[in-house]
Amino acid sequence: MREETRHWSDDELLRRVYGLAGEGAVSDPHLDHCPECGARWRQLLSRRADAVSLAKAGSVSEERLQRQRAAAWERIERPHAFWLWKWAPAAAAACMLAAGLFLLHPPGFSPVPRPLPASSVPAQLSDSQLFNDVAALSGPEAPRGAAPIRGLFEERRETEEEVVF
Amino acid sequence: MMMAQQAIAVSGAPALLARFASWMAAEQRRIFLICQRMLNDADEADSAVQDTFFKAYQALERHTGEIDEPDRWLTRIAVNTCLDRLRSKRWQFWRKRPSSEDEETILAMAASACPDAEDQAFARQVGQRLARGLETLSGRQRAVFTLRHYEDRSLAEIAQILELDVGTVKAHLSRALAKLREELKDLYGLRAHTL
Repeated sequence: MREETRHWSDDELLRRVYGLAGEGAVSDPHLDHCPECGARWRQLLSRRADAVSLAKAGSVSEERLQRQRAAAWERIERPHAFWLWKWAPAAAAACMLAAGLFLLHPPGFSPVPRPLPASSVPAQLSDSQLFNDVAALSGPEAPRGAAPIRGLFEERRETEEEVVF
Repeated sequence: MMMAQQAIAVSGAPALLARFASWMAAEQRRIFLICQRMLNDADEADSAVQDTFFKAYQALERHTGEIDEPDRWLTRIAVNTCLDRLRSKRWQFWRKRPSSEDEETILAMAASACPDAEDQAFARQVGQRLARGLETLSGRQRAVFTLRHYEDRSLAEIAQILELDVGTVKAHLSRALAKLREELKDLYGLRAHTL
């Protein structure tokens, strides 16, 4: 089929009316030579103009527009309050997290044992002192079997005292 | 858009507030219609319009000098606001059917000038189908189609508004037309003349 006799398809017309068929689409010579395509094109342009004018007129109630304006002005005139509200969920989450941590670990509780004050720890314990302390813990009377060992420590303490003096 | 240009050029808070009020009143209907067509939900469109003007005001407060083509600039803010909302999964989850008032609006936009009741009923049907068809488009396709079909903007203008090149705009529009071809053929009465 030669170009002069081929009619434009619906898709081709649509592409042309929306500007997708090149710059010369509106004044194509085919429209002058083909009365059928010319008529369809003019009808399409007419309906397109109606659709555009109706779309631009668009029915929106004045009441709706007033509500929009009022809401927009409220935000414009109080932007800081709006931003506070925007951060409210994050602030609430942070507060809940802090409360959860507080409940899990109350101020009196510490998972890490506190170090003893330096004054409460003797710098160095002699063997005899250690033995006496252990013996005191185990009871007022040391078992018989411990007597020879105790004797050894007693002797050693005397020796140490001699060395010192 | 003389009023818009005056609004953009004003400096100082009280003067800006006064100019902005008249600019908002002049542009509000157009911006609402763009948002409504892109979001297909009047309540969401209300919020989008508020966001748009709030962002515009904040930008104007910070801006020094004049903004070229303020109506395009505002349209860009509106379209980007709608695209953000379309991307939001939360909004998609809570998305509702258009209210009866919105459906009336959509139908009125699609109604043909034919006085015949049967034709008007058919045009309403087409309008409904076109509104539903818009939901099948991606955000960018919807933005390009809305600006071309309803706002009758040129492809170059759309490219400027969306900050895309013209080739990309054509690609989006071509895909949108392919998806909406049946609805558009009915809208323009092409079916009766199919060759």
